[in-house]
Amino acid sequence: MNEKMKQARTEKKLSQAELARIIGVSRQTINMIEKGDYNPTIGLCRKICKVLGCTLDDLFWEEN
Amino acid sequence: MFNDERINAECGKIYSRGILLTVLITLLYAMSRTVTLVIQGSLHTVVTYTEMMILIFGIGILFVGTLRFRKNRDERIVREQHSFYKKAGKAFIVAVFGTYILTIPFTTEEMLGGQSHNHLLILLEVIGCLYLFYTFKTKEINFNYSFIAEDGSRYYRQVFLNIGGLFLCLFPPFLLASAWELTLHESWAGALTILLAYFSSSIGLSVEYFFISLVEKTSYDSMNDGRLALGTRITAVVYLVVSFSVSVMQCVYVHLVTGNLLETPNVGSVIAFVSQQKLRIEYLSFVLVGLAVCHLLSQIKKGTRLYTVCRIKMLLLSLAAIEATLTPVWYRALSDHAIRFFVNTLDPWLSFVSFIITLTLWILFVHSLVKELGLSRILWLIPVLRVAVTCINIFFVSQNMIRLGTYCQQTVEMGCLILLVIVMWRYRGLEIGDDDKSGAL
Repeated sequence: MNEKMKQARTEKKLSQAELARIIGVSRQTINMIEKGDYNPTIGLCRKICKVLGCTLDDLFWEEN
Repeated sequence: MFNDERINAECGKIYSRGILLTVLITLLYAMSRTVTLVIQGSLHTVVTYTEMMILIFGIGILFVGTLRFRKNRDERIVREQHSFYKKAGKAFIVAVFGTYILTIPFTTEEMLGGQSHNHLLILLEVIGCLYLFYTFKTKEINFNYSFIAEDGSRYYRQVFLNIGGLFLCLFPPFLLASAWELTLHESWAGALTILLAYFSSSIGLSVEYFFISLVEKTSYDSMNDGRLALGTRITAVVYLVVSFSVSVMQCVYVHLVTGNLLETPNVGSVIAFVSQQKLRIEYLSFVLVGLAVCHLLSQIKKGTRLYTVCRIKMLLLSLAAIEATLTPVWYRALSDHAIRFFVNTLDPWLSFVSFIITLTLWILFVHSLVKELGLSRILWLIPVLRVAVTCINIFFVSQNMIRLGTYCQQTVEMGCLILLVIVMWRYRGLEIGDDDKSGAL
């Protein structure tokens, strides 16, 4: 699960559908990234970070 | 701009596997028809131009793809591979349909081996639909994914634009084929038939596409309130109507073949016509069941028994479609003695095996619905009634009351389907997931 991404999204008051529309992907893709079912490429990660105002480390760095 | 990397990657895989599936089915069909031609004593082992295009182009794409992307499989190369198969897949579809349409005037009856012109294409369309429904839904991809999130009016405007595009794309090849027919065979009737085929093909494909788009959109927009998606329920109701037509045709067919053949003029033609229409409607029912089952798949948890049963159902639907297509091909090659042997000896056993498989699947399906989803236990009536009516049918057949047996069987099967649809329509026990379909945070 990518709780950090979900938290950042909710802090920006964006739904999955709205975030998906801004980035240009499907709602299911955002849902799958948040659930950990899909590993996005670095390009998509950067787009998500840009919209949510976070860094790659903030959202996608896996804590050991 | 819509550019979903996940969907692009999955579509690339779907296209590559789809091309492989098309090649294999075409090979099976062409080999079956060629063998039957040889058995009938025809020395011309031919394939149609469409089959040649599918085999040559399809194998070519797979060969090039395998050679080009066998090494260095990093993220960038894999993305290129998916893009290659996506473009190649679209080119493949255009080439196959284009070849089929343009070579209508040049395809001889000998090539077809007694089958109708679009026999293979209908099979590929049915298998293609089942394959796409299954792969899209299990990978969580919507049809019309690039614009399904739009509001209703924009969505349906795009759907109608796509339908218009379909009509425009199909018109030039059909017009050319019609012109060739007129030039080569000097046949106005043939040319007009090809133009009529344009309208019937375009309208048929448009209706299919519109229905699928409607089902997708209604499912996408329906609130996650614990019910089965509205699209699933709508498809189930439409399937009921189609099943009713199949049942009626089955009763008419049995009425004709068991009646006094001298009373019905041109009884052979009538029986052949009813049989052909029944097959076409059966194909439609395969597609509708596939659509409903795949929508159900997208709403239930992976790894559950119900999920497995639904996957098995999809496989059996595909096999049923292939069997329904190849059986008439093989019948043409068999002698009268062989056909009698098959109908009197083998067919009852095959029917028995088919009944056992179907009954087992029904029991597993009902068990999963009741235990895993919590649907009403009244659904257990379905397998019980099916066994009962089969026993009654066997009794009626032994008493030479075939018609009564058929009417009873068809009535009970319709009743079971109606019961299933009603129970599933009223169901409200699905787990509400964390996918914020409603737009809430």
